[in-house]
Amino acid sequence: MKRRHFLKGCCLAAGAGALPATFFVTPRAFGQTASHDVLVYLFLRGGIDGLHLVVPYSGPERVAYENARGNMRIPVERLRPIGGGWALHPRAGGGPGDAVDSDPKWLQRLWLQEKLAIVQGVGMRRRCRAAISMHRPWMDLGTPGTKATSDGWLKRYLEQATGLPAPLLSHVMGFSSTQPMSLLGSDDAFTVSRAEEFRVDGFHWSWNQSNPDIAGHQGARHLISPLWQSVRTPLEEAGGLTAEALELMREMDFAGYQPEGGAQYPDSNLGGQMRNLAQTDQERPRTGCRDAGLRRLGHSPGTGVAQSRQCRPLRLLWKPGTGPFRGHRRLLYRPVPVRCRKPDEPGSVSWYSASSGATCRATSHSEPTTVTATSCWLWGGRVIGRQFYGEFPGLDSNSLFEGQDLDTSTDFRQVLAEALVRRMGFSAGQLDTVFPAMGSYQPLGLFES
Amino acid sequence: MDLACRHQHTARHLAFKLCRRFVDDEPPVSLVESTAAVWHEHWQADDQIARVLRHIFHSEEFCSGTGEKVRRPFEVLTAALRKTDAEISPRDHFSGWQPWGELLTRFQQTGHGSFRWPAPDGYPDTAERWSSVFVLGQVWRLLSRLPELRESGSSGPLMQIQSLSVNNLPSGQRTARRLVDFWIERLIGRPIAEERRAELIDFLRQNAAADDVLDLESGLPDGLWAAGNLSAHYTPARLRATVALICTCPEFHHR
Repeated sequence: MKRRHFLKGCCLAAGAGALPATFFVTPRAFGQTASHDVLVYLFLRGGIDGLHLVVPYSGPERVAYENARGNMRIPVERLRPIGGGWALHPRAGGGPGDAVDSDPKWLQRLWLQEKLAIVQGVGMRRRCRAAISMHRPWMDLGTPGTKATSDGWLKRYLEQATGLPAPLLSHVMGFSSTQPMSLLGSDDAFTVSRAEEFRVDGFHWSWNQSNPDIAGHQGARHLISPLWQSVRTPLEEAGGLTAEALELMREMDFAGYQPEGGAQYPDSNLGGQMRNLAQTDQERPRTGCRDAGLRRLGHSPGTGVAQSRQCRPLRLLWKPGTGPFRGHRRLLYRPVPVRCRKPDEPGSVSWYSASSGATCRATSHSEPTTVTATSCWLWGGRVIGRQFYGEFPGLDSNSLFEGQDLDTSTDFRQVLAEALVRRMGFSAGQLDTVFPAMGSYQPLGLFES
Repeated sequence: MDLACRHQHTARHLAFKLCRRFVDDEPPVSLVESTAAVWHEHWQADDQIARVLRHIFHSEEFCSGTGEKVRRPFEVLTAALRKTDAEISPRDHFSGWQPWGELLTRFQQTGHGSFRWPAPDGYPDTAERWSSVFVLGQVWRLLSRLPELRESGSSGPLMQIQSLSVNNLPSGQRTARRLVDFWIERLIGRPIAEERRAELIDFLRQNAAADDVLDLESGLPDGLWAAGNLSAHYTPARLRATVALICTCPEFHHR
C-alpha cells in the first residue's frame, strides 16, 4: 500500500463528501481497529433440521418427539446425551464410525467445555408456508413479514454504531457471490465470493500477469492504477482508492495463510470463505473490517434441486429425489464453523441457527419444509456455554404450530440484538433502528458481563 | 388505477425517477416539475411516456448534463458489448455456452445482478451506490474478461475488436496511436484525459514507436509469441487488453 496515497485518499474522502467515507484510514488508526470485536454472521440457506441436531432424549418431549417423527426419529442409543433431557446428533460429536460414547468432538466438545450455548425455539413469529426463498429476506433484512425493506439489518447497525474506527478497506465484508441481503443498501460493503477473486485477472494470459522471464513485460492490470491517478471527480477519487485496494488485496498471501490454532478448513467454497474470513480477521489491523457476513446458497429442502454451482458441498449431501430430511446425518459431517474457528478467541462470537427449521411430521418427505423455529447455537468469547436458553415450545400436538411444526418462543432478532448490545457495545435504546417492530429488548443472559 | 394514474404525486414521483435516470442524481426541481406537468397533462394519451421523455431530452438540463451520470454495472456491460459488435444469444441457464456462465457470474459479483434487488423500488440510481471500492473492482474484473469470452467451439472472441480495427483502419494506419484513438472515439465518443491516453498508447506500442504499424493479423486470434520484441508479442491479444483498459477509464464509466 502506498502510504502517501493512503493519506491522500483519506483526506480527499473526508473533503469530498459525496463518497462513502469509510474506505481508508491513516496508518495510526490501524492499532485502534485491532481492539474491536468482530461479528460474524453466517447464513446457511438450507441448513440442518433443528430437531435432528438437538434431539429430545428423555421425558415427555421424547415421547412427543417419537410420536411426531415416527420413522424419522433418531433412536436414543444413537444419540449423544448432553443433559437436561436432550442429546446431540451422533455426528455433532463424532466422525464416521465413532461410537456415541467415544471422545466428543466438535459441537459436543465445545458444549462440554462450556463454550457453546443453545437457544431453543428460535425463529420468526411471523410465518407463512412458503419456501425458504421467502424467509431468507425476512431474516436477512431483519423485518419478518416484509421483503420490501430496502436495507439489511447489518447495514442499519453499521449506520447507527458509534465509535467505529475508520477502516482501511471497509467496515464490513461479505463473502458471497452477490451482496448478502443483510448488507443490502450498504454503499461500502466489500462483498466477494472469495477474497482471492477481488482482482483484475481476466485478460488474455499473454498479458494478464507480468512475466518475469521476459524483459520489460508488464501485465495489463498494472495500468489500472495509472489510469485512475488523476482526481477531478468523486468517481475518479473512488477509482483511485479502488486501484489501491486491489493492490492491497494482492499483497495478502492467501495461499500461504497459516490458520491459527490448528484450524482445518474443508476443501469447499464455504470452507474457503471461512478461511478468508479468518484471515481477514487476522488482517484486521490492515483492512479495518469489523463485521463479516457470509451467505451460503444451499439446497432448497424438498425440491431436490441445487440452487447453483456454488452449493456443491451441499449438493453432494442432498441427492435429488430424496426427501428433505434424508441425508442430514451427512450434512452434519461439516460443522464448519466449529472446526475452523477458535471459540475462545478474544473478540469473536459466532451465531448459527439451523435455518431450515423443524417440521415434525413424519410423512412430510415430499413437501417443502417451512421456517418455523429451531435451535440457535452461539459460541465465542464471553458466551456462557453449556446452558440452554429460551423456552422449548413443545412437541405435543397442542404446542405445535398448525399441528405440525415446532413453534417459535424466541424471536431470532432478540439473539442478534443481545449480541449487538453485549458484545458490540450497541445501545439497547437504538435497537429499533436496526430491528424495527421487534418489540422490547428481552435479553436472555447469553454473555458474561 | 385511474385515480393513481392521474394523481399529482404519481406524476411527480415518476418524473423524479425519470429525471434522475437521464439527467442527474439530484435533478433540478424545475425540470422535475415541468416533466410532472407533461406527465399529468397527458395521463390518458397513448404516447404519454414518449411525450415525457421528449420533454426531458429536449431540456437544457439534459443537454448540458451529459457525462454527469455514473453508469451502473449493467450499463457498463451493455455499452462495452454494443460498441464492440458483440453478438450474444443467451441460452437457458449455463448449458451449451460456457462463457455465459462466467459472464453472468462476474456480472452478478458487481452487485447489480438481474432480479437480485428484493425491494420493489429497484436498484439505486445514484453515483454513490455504484462508486464503491467493491463495485468498481468487480466491474473492472468483469471488463478485463469480456474481450476474452468466446462462443463454445468458436475460435474468435465475442467482441469484434480485431475485425473492427482491421476494417476501419487501413494496414498502414494500424499504429498504437491510431488504434487507441480509434477505440477511444468508438467506446467513449470524446477525448479522454491526455495522461490516460498516453498510458494506453505506451501499453499497446510496447517497445515500438507510437506511430509504428502493428501486426494485427498474424497468428489470429491471439497473435504470436515474440518475447524478444514485445511490440509483436501477442499483439491482437494486447489490443483486446487495451480496449478493456479503455473501458475501465473514468470517462467510460460516465454517461
